[in-house]
Amino acid sequence: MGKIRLRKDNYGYLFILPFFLIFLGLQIYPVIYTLYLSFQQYDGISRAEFIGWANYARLVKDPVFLKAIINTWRIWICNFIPQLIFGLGLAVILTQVRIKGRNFFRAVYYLPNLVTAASIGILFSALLGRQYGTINQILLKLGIIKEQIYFLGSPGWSSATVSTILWWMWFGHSMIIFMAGIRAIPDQLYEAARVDGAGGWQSFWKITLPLLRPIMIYVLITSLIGGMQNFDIPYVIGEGVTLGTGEPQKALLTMVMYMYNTAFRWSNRGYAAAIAYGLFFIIMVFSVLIFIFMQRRDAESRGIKR
Amino acid sequence: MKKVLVWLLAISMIAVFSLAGCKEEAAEEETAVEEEEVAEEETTEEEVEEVDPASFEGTVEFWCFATEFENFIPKFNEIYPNITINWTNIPNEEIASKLETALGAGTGAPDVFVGEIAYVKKWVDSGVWENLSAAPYNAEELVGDTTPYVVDAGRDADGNIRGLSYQATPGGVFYRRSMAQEYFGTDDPDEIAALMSTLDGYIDMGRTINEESGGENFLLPGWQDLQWFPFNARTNPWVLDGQLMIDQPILDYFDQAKTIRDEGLDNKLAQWSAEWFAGMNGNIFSYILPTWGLFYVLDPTVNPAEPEEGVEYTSGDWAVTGGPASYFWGGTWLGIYKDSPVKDIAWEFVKYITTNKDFLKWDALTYGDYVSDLAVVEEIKDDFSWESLGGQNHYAFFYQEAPKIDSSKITKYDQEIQNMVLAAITAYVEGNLTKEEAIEQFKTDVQTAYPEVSVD
Amino acid sequence: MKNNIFKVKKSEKLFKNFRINIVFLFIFLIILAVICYIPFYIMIINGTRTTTQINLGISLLPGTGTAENYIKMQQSMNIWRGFLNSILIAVPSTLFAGYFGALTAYAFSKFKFRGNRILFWLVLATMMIPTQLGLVGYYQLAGKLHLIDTLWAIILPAIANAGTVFFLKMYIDANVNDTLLEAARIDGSSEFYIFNRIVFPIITPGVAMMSILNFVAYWNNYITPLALLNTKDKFPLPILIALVKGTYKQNIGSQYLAVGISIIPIIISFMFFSRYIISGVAAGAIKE
Repeated sequence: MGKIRLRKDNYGYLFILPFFLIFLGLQIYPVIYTLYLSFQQYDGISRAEFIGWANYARLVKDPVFLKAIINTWRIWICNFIPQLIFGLGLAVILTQVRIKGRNFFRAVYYLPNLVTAASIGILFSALLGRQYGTINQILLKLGIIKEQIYFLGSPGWSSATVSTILWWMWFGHSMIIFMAGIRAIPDQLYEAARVDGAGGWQSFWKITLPLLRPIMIYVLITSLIGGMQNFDIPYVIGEGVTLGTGEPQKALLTMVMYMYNTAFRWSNRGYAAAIAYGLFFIIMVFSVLIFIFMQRRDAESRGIKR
Repeated sequence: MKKVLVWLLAISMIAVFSLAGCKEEAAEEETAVEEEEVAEEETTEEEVEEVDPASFEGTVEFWCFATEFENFIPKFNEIYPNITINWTNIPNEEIASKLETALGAGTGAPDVFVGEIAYVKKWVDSGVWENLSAAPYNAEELVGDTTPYVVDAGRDADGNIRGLSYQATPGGVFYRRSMAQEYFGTDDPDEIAALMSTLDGYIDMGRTINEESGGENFLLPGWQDLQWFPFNARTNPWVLDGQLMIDQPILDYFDQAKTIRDEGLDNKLAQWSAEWFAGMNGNIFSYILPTWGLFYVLDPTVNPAEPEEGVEYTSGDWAVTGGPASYFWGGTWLGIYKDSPVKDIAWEFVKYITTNKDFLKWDALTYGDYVSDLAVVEEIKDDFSWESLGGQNHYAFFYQEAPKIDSSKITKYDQEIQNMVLAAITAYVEGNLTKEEAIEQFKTDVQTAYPEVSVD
Repeated sequence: MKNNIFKVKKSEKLFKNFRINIVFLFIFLIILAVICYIPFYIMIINGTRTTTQINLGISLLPGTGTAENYIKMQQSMNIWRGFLNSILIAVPSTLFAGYFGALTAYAFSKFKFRGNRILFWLVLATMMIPTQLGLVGYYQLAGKLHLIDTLWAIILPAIANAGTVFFLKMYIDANVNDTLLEAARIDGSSEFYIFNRIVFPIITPGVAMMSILNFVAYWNNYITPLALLNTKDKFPLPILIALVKGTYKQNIGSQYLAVGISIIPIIISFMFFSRYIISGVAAGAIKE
């Protein structure tokens, strides 16, 4: 075959070409269109009107957006930390501790991730019902509580409930990713450690954790991105008229929910686009910070790697 | 300019062809339609007699969430065999945003689409729906018998009809006969209606129930169920000349809700939750529901096709009567997209579904739907006897209620603003906020959603 | 092949000296499994109960509504048609995302072409734009390309799955050794050969893992098909499931049944793909 010899590194361009063709064609346009919208006053149906920076001026002073930022972070941190602990712990247990039924556990822990948000809404409204909900009934029968808990009534309880549901849905997901990461760590390292007399915990701190760093960055950043875009669970968990409004007292109002409501319930596409870019900016800043932080740590401890 | 010319040409050609087409094969379809139409105004009679439905040909793209169109479309095709209705069924929660996406992009929008009460004003006011009061539709001539509030809800700010509906959705108070008998000594709908003719009277009934049952039974599943009475007792629309209007009945509703909760008159159930449904076979005296609430909410719960063992169903123990105010809840309007290329056949479809008396009568008699045409309702209203209501004629009741309703206060803001009010009252009732703080929260919410509305 | 020593190890790395009481650990794992399984179980059980029964509360025993739910479900939709559509969307999407994602990630990881880092950051950045709003722009674009109401409109974006690229770049960084690639180049292997025959097998566990997650995501994707598809015959399962409930929530039982049926393929595909991830572990366990 008389083919043109590419310089080796230029094969990189060839390899990313299909991705970028679709990427530029189908994904960049919507992003730019959203940017364009953010300078418009537009209700979604009639003609758009250019209003300059007005949407952004409103955004930086918007107390509701600030509240949404805080809510989003609170819900994310309250579910991410336990999610990380469970995900990592279970990944280690299920790959490194000899225990019966590991395949079974692995599959079962992943199950909650398969349930769609709409089903979660119906299911948990039955579980968390105020008067006759299953959880309240059980707690009453066991004598743990005297009066029913209104899980979705107070800002504190509802926010904790959402974080718990998210933890329940996602720790199996993190577990699987960590398992794939641990599986890729060369066995020889563990062998060597064992020969040196290292215990399970020591190997975990000295081998597993450092070598999982790239996977850890991935989990952290994707979870941050996903967490900042948190929308459907807080949206469906409300009941009746409060469905999707972020009540009680906007404790469940996340950034994307605010954006969604602005765009589709209140028909203010322009401001919604500005919120989207505000959200984008926040995620971007924190992703970069995480990346830089992790890479510096990485550089410091590079001696361990390979 | 060129576009307009093409349009004018196209429309006039369609008009010419359809007229020419019908003259040839006129008289056939009359028989079925005739008897109803004789009583009609001359103008409409003329049209109906002249046009042969079979001469209309083409395909209408139609987006709607209402499952009854499964039955409506085949019925329509019996009369109009050559019009294909391409129905896309989209969940109610999503259809407004899907439509907005298509309308905003200006491509792929359907010829006919639906407006539920929550967003019908959006289509009506923004002008995406064709003006049906104008020629060639002349809808004003067809709505003489339609329940007035239903027509008004489909009118834009200038009074032009843009959406029409086949149904009317007045509501009432559904109550348990056995409890009424026990606590008030009667289960007669008129006597119960007299007791609950004011909100205070209604709440007093709750006190009686609470005392005599020792707190076992409740007036209402939750105070939120009361909402339609204060909402309908408002004298102003929610937004008037860019100003948020908080009328006295709304301020009173804060206190009423608090009273109901503090005195234990409701069972703290959230609307549409599983336990809310279950209360129908339990310890709740009354539910505030409209026409469709009877068919789709109450009946399937108290008279299910597959009964569960160990549950005492309350079918037959219910009755419906008027509460402190007349109200309507929900409703589905149809309109034609302003840029549809097939407006003529789209209009035939909308016209048939929303104003054809044969069709509406068939719908009412076959499915028990409460239809919008008062003449049809009047003709059939005495023949109903509903099982779960102990043989009561619900149709006659709704017939009384429908004309009392005023829909002139509807705005595109209603659904959202009412949810915000309920959220604020919840915060007050649950003790998270004081009344003043709750009202402040409500104003802030409205301001956030609609910066153009002044809240002070 | 000469790269055996570099293959991700197949042997066991169990540690006998983790000082954890195995009995307590086991009890903990079981409790956690119950917490994960119960709501799932209730959901499937609810598929056999009528709407009334569901509204009366939660039950752990099957109800009597399976037949009724099935009939109601099939009345409002053809679930098997939806099944086919979901497969037609999810399978090619998953394959595209896996293969092109790996190819792109490999390029970002191992080729030092100009703009590498910037382009990679650009990929990451798009993950941060919420889909809900980009959708309006995508709809317009799809309209111009005449892709509205075609399955391609849903499938094509899978070629550019930023999350997959991100993960696999991390995975390749950690697991594919440069010396191995150099050795192959010295042997005269073409770049495509190296990717397809050497790199891809090494990263199969990572690709398989990502494919599970992607498959689930594509299978459950709701917003994009909802906005872009108009013909009922093209609707995938999630839209049909949302439709079956009906306007007045009168068919919740049928909805659960549909959800239950729609989950089956995900579980099967999970079993299938997870074999790739854990085959080494399992083989080792048998060996011991």
